[in-house]
Amino acid sequence: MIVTKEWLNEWIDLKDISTEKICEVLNNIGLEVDSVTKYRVPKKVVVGKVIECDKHPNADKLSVCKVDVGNEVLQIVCGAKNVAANQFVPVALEGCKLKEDFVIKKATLRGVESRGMICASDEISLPKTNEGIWVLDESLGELEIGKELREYPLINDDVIEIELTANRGDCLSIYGVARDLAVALDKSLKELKERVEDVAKGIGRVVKFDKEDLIDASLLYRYFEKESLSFPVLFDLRLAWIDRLKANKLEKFVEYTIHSTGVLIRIYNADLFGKDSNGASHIHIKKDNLGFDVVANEENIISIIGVYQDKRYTPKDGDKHILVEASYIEPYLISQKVMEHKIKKDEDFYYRSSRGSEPNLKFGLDYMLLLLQKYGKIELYSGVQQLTQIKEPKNVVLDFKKCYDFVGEEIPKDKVLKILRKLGFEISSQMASDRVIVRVPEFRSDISNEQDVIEEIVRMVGINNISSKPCIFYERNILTDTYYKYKKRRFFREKASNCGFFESVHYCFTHKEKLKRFNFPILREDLDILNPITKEMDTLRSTLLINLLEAVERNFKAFKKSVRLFEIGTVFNENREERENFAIIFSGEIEEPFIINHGKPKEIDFFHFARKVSDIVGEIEIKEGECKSSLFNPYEYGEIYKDNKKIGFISRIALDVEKEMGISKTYVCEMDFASLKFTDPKAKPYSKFPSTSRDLSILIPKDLRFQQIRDFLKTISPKEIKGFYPIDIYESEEFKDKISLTIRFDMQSDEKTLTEEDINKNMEFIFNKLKSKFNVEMR
Amino acid sequence: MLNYEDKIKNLSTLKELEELRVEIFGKKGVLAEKFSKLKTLSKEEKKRVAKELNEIKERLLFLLNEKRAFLEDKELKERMKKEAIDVTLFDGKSESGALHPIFSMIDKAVDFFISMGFSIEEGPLIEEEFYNFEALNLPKYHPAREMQDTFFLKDGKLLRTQTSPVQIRVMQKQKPPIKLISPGAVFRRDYDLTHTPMFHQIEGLVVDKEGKVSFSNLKYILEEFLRYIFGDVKIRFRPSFFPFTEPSAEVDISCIFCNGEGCRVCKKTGWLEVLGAGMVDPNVFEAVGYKNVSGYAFGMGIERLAMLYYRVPDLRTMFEGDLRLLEQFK
Repeated sequence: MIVTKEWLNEWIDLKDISTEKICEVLNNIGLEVDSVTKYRVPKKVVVGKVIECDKHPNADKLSVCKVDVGNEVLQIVCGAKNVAANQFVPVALEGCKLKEDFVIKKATLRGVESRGMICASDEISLPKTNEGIWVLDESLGELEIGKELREYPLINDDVIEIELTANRGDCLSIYGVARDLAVALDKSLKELKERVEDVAKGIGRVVKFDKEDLIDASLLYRYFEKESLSFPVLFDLRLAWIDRLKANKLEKFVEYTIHSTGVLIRIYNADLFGKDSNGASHIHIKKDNLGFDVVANEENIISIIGVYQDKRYTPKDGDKHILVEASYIEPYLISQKVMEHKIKKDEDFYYRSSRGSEPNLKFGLDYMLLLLQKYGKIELYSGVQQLTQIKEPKNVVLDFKKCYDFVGEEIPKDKVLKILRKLGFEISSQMASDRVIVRVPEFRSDISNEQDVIEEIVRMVGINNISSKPCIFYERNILTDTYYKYKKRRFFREKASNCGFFESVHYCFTHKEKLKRFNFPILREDLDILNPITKEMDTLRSTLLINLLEAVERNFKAFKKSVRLFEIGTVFNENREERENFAIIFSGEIEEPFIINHGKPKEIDFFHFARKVSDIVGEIEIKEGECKSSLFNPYEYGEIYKDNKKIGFISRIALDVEKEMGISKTYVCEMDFASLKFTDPKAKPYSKFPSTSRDLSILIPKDLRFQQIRDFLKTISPKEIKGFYPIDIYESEEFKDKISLTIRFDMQSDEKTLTEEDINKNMEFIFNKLKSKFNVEMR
Repeated sequence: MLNYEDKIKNLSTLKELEELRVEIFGKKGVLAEKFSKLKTLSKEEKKRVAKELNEIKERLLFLLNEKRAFLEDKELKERMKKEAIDVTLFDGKSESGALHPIFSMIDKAVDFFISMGFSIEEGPLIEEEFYNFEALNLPKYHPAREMQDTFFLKDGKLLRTQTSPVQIRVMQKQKPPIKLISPGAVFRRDYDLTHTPMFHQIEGLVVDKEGKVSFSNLKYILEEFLRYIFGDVKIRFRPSFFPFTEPSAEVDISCIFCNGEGCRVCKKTGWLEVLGAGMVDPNVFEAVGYKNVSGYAFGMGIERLAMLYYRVPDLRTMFEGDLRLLEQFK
């Protein structure tokens, strides 16, 4: 909603109040000021009068004008098509600085001397109102030749843009904003006093209303014959400020009236309705099949009240017989239907009707008719056609005690009543000393209960003026399951970050084509997004990895050489069940280049990555698994087990994908976050005797997986074996179809220091078992 | 033999020491030679000379060991010197990762509200219209419900547009008093410089018997919170409108970039809008069947707070895993 200080000034006296103060008050009463623009015409732009206007001798498109600027008559060459003798125009004199880099100087244009410039509105720091030069009239104030334009307050106005909340339809007009401002500033609101003049001929002679159904809207009609119209320049400027310029003069009056008063106005060419034998136009007012109130002729629906008008029936410049309509309809009666049936609508008009337009129809209609009579010649027929719905007045009981409890401090009763009266509420009866019944004004369709009324009081008292007090609340246990879930997430996030990974967050959306390409689960068609925002985000993700890989790709494009990211986020399966996954990704160099690696860090590999994962989530076991997605390299793919339960997978990205994305060696893992435990470790007793280790090098068949050896060793190891792990594999032609594997065994007894003999016995035992199970040989 | 004492004294390396040790104590060393000559002596003589030799042997051994300890120590000290490094070659970098500014902001907020006795609640991202709209006094025809704002799913459900449905779910399950916050992701169908289709909110709700919770209480908690996050800032409440609260307010802090003088970030107003709040609308209580209660609610956009607090210049980069941004939060 755009208002200007001078426009507001038509309803409320703001002469002694600064724009800054107005903005402060608007903010305080909940009309948030979005921006303020102060329009100021540059110095040395004066009112001039074109005395003569002749064609330029050497240029078809230029005119040579004699322009009276008060103390002298200047010869000015002008390029605008619309310049003519006897016009009052803005003239930029020599030395006038129109823009930072544009100063008016004496010039010779095609051999003719020119001293100054006749300006268009947008050349003198105002919005553009029309093609060509700006022709002035007395609506801007008395035109004094030679007077600087910056002296005219109506031109040099402050334009305030208000970001209106959806409930305040009553403030969608200059009048509405002024009405609210008047309460806050404790000023009186001016009313429309002039009376509309009409002729003896009555509206009933020319228009017949056929009301066919019971309708919901309130409607008010008048009829006039248009003879001539001129549209004041000030109004053009204001319509330019609010960006509502129209080509047709009558439509411009309609726009101006709607913005000024908030009453919804429409105009019809009365000749396009069917006429009876007496020459009277028949206007049908009825319900259409969706239940909208409509205006129709014999064949067509011409307008839907509050929603839409068929443009073929709006009067054109030459049309003479005009029916003008003011309307009001309860917002909820139309907005639901409009949404449900996706009705075509006039956006600006519907914006007002769906938020609640001004219900005082006579006020808006009279305002416009008075303007038409002032700036034109119309023959207004007497009488109105009125179809009004008598609305039950809304009454609300206000309890002062409740008001006090609610706000948290006492607001004096007389202050409350004064605020309500000024806001247009009627205090209809005082029930008891601490309660009153208030009647809600018609124009506030947003108010219906006691809390609504308290809000109005708080708004005018000023929220800032209410003191703050701590709330007394009885103790209750807040350490719920959700709290522990949050703590767990925080624990693993901090762990991953300490292990060198960067937390990231991506949209829960992904590209279905990509999920398909890499064989990830795809959301069932009937559960998918109805209105995706882009093709790349057309479904819900079933994996975190696609988004993370794209982040890696972007980072490589930004010349990063080592990318370590993680994300804990929601994913959705085929049946759209929500689950939290934990994904970790490592791409490129294993560490930063620095003095120790001579600036040439190695690239990440499977085992280093697995160890990083284990650093974050605790000890894990990796088993062979079936790789279902073509995103992964099946030869470096494994399933992650924790406490003998499968929790996710770990893999290198397939080489073709790495190549396509232009990224280095990349490893990923994705785990089910719920499967991770978050418990503090508990200490166990430990041996105080020395520990020792021995390496065992054996030749094993190439296709034997260590997993099998590990599982076997776990079952047969003597209790002195505290741990074992592979430390080397070695291939050589001399081994033929076997490879050499070295396993290190850590040994320690809980009772004594192990002797060389004990140790050898254990190693021998293990070797023999391995030999008989897997047919391995000593290397 | 006495010249050996001088020789030991004059030793300067462990190598010389070892050579001298062999010369004296080796199988063919001077001492061995001297002992071997003993057998040529008379019994009396043998006893005396042997005693003498043993004394010399012990003395030389002592001196030699003493010298060795000295030389070993000297050598370690020299090695340290030789192996000296330029410690200033360290580049100052760390290999650590970092938490994301959005989640760090949530963590900060959670810490505050937990300390003030709020519990944490969470809810599903896929919601029903009832929880996301109707129960929150957003009737079907409300402009905020139009298609362009909400992601709908083909079975009539939707991606929640706010964290407020958690309020409703909790109120349906629990009886007052309730004092909760609910952080999480929300979705709006909007994508430009200042909007992302997914972002995060923290919701707060306090409900107790009628007369127990007032607007003053709401002001208190929010003022405390904003000062906890932003330090010594001025705080302003402006009336506003949200369907689920009434009276509603938008809360501003004095601009942290210009101290309220007016700059580009605060659009010359000196104020930055940071959150919305209000007293719970009676229609919301009605939707969950609460009677004779009062309560307040507030909601804030985490990205907004994070951008202000951590000075993140661009909203969208936060969702791109961009290390140029993330590395700064190490």
